[in-house]
Amino acid sequence: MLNSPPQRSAALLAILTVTLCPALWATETKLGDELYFSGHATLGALYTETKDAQFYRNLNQRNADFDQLTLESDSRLGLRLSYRPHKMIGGEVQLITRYGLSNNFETNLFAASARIRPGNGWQLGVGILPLESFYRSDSIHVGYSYLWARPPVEMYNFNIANNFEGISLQKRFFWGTQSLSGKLYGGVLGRQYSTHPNDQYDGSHSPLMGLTLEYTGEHLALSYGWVEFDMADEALLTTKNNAFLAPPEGGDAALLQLLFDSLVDNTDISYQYLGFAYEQGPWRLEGAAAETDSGLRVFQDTYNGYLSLGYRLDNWTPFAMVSYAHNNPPHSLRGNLPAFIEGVILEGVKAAQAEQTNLALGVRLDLSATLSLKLQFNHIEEAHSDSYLWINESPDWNGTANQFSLVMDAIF
Amino acid sequence: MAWIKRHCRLLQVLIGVTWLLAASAQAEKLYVVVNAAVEVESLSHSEVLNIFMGRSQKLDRQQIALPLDISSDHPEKAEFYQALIHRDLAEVNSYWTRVMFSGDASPPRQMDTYEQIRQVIRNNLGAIAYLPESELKQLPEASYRVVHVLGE
Repeated sequence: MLNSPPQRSAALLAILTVTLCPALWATETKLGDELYFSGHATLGALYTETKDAQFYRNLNQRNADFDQLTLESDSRLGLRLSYRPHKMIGGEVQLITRYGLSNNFETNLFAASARIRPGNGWQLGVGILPLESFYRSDSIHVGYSYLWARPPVEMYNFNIANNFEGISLQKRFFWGTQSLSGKLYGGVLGRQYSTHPNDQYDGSHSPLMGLTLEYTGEHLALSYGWVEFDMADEALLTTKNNAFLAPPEGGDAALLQLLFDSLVDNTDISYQYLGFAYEQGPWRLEGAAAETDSGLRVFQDTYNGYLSLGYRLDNWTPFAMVSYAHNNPPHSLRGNLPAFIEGVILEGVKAAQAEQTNLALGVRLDLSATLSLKLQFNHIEEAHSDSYLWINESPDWNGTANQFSLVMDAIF
Repeated sequence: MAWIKRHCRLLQVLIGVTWLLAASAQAEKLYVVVNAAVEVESLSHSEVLNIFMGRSQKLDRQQIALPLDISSDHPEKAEFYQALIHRDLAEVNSYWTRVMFSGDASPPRQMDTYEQIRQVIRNNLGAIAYLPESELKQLPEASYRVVHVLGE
């Protein structure tokens, strides 16, 4: 944990140093006979041109600065250690260091799993596994793997989980240059998580299950995914100094739990998406559409999508992207709830509203086979001044903002 | 005028030599080889592609594939992927980082030298690798089988 600005700067400097040494790298380094080390690093500078609202990249990261440059939102470092003692058996551990809710750089275990590949296209995974509910962003932290400075926030910043504890079973069929794969997975969220610096939830017993179908052809890839979370055993561990969830004066823990239970009306949240990628010559077109069906009163059903077009000119790939997120109107409040709970829910619904359009223009420059530089401009228009995608909005904010990003991505 | 003609002719000769050199460089073949004991006579272009891009894990009905890559500082690696999938190394690496960090598959094993590749080919039934002709000649003929040729 880095507790002071000098420590944070030192961490950033370390990332920068690693990032700028591509000559030392291969895409994967052999440490022993069967032990391999690899990783990714991103140094990102982001300037959000508004004084009226603070931007955050995702729910696990709510730091933002008013109208000034930040190196914290997009910078991160990921490490991966894999062990392949046999052609059929392997294991891996992944760590990710990024700026988090504590307003510091935090290192978390992202994946730790064993894989068995008995052949005939079968693969079994057990352990902490990446959550594949987000098309082409199952490696969402690996900036080098996509064109943009950051994946569209309208599509990807709603998720509270990138991984889970459980098991996955995959079968792949292939003919010619085409393949079709199906994956079933299930388990539990398996950890505590936060959606705000002052709140912490226990999701260690929250089950989830999902399905991913992927078709890959020579030029076209299609992907469909569905995942459902059951938040039946979710428990609010802490809430403090939070106007949204704080009970009225004189409120006690039981009242607080009643409040939380009221927010979680129906405990299921399901998410499904359909995505595609088409690559022909220098052209690269991809997009996805998704729907979140929420049983939580404060998080309404959400629809999001994006479309991205890139054209490769030698090492340069200019691109344009448009992304969108929209909430349904709030559900009516059901049951006889105390007035203060209704008020809190309505406040929560209001804070979670989003109808946002984001236009991005940028260019990716591949400096080498392991290092890329990206420049990106975003113009964002948000219909609700009090939005889920922004915090600390001024009442005078007109809902528009421009962003400028300069990102260096590397793999090693 | 004569000076211009002379230099134009010199330029034509230089262009011709450059073209010939470029053509001969492009014509260099890459041989996809497996261990001689494996019961695979040949692989199609798409079968090689599937194995090296992590889609397929088998050489034949029984043998699990162990694809091998030479390190990126050897120009043959870029030539191999250009011939195989018409993508440069940055795009190939971009693909592999997505697949690798999502846990779906592992990239071919990276070898620093062709000697290491030859050694694995000789000692491992599932090994599959690509070699330029000059490196292939250093492999005992009885130890390998060419299953595909790229750049023909």
